[in-house]
Amino acid sequence: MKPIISIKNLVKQYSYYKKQPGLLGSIKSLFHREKLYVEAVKGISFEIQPGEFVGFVGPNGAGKTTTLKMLSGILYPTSGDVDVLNHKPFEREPEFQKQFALVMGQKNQLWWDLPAIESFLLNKAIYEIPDALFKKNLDELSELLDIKDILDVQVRKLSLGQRMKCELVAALLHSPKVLFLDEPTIGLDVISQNAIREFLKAYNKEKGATIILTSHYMQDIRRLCDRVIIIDHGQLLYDGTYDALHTQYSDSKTVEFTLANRVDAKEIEVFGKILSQKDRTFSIKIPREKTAEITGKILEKFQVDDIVIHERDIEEIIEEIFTDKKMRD
Amino acid sequence: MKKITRYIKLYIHFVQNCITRELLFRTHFILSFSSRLLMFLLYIVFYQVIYRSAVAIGTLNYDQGLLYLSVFFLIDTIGFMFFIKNFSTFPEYISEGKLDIILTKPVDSQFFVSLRYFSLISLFSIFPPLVLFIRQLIILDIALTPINIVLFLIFMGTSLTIYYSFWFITNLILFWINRIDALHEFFVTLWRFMQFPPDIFQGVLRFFFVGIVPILFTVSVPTQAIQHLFDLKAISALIIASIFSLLISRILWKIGLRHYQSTG
Repeated sequence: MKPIISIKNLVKQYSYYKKQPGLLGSIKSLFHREKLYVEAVKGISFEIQPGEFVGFVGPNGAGKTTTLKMLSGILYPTSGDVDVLNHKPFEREPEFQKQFALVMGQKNQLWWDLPAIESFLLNKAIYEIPDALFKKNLDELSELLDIKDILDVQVRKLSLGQRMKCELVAALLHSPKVLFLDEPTIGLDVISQNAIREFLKAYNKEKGATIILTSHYMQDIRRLCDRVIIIDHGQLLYDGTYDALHTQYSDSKTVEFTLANRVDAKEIEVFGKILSQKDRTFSIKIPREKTAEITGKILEKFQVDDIVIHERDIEEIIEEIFTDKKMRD
Repeated sequence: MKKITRYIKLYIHFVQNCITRELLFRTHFILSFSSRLLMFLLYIVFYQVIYRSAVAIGTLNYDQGLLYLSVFFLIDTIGFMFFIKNFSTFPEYISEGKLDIILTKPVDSQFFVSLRYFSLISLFSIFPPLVLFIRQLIILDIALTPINIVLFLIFMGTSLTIYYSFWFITNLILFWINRIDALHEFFVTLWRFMQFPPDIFQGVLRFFFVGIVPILFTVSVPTQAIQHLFDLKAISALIIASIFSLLISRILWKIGLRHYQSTG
């Protein structure tokens, strides 16, 4: 299948002026300024197939948003190839722009002083959405996101969660094939985060839309994305499935068990490193490849009331990837 | 044709949204309208003071001067009606990255950033200069014929094109120098010179307003047209300047977009 998004050796360089500290430095800079360059994206390549839900992960300044902006045609790449929906995004052809949407958690497209419905109607005109399709999509989306009652309320009077839901509706009214989401759950409370996640999951499944999501909340990535792309300092560190991330980067698992009788900690230490102990409940770290063997031995040796095997937390793994890279650098 | 109809429909949407929004803030609306009215009245007083010590400014007597001033204010107010809110928002677009979403829309981005906002206050502010314009036509006994009306409207359009283009071009500096607050004021300040007839500008100033920022004939040509007076040199200069300024604005916008860095 031909990928819907394809980027090859994509580079984005920004220029800026060096600012000398203090008032004197500011006055000097009026007469002489040194121009500096920084590479926000350093030659990354990947392909995305239609219908994929991809998590784009990285710390602040990793180049996630810059990449999304190049994919959506906001920024011109410094070099490299970028192809989205068979278009060069930076050419900003209307036929291309009608097929995707970008939602940014920290920037909005809704008219602040007007009810959201006015912005939806404006988007109807912008995207030339036929009346019947507009009505169908609006009904469907506002039902799914539970915003029917707030369509006529001024955007400024809505909560952050309600505003984000309206932003999503505004972005999806024209049924985009590709959806770029840049931190859509930022600042939202847990309930709103969950509602947005559930919606995105359903939307991806039902409409088959290709979605790229950047988020600082690993919950978003864990619950939504089959595939994870990790970048740092503009370079690609990992591209694969969420599950494979565990196998590739995590050589251990955590076994948590509760014994029927009290046992000395020394007897447990032989199976693995004790991470925590509370009364008769132990949590130990064991090598991934010995999971079956060790849990078998525990069950054999002790009378066990309860036992659970955990994968290592994805946040920890990603943090470790970044730390390892920093040390290598 | 289909494209033009689409953009007209889109513009109607912009206008509807802006009117709805401005009517929500009545006090702001009243204060802004009063401020524009006061400025208009001050200019008339200013003209009266000048004409007390002079029979004519350039070749214009007092009544012709007021006609000229009314045309200046008509262009100014129409220009404000279409562009003031858009161009005062420009620093936010460039420095704060608010241009991002606009650049993803299947609409010409120059059209979007230039006409997204409409000033209802300026629409109401047209009436005072319009009343003065009609009064001066009566006082000066100027006959209105289809020809001078059509030519007046064409030249008003041409002047507004120059007015728009240079105001727009001024704002584009933001693509290269990221932070200049109230940059749009720079053009408005230059434009204010045009409240005086072109004859008074000589030497460097005349060269500047003809060759660098060609706004010298933007008020005089339509004012003369309504009086059945035609200065072919000035008309040619106005038409050439309007075509070139619009083209340059388009080219610079495209180049500027390549320099747009957005924000993190």
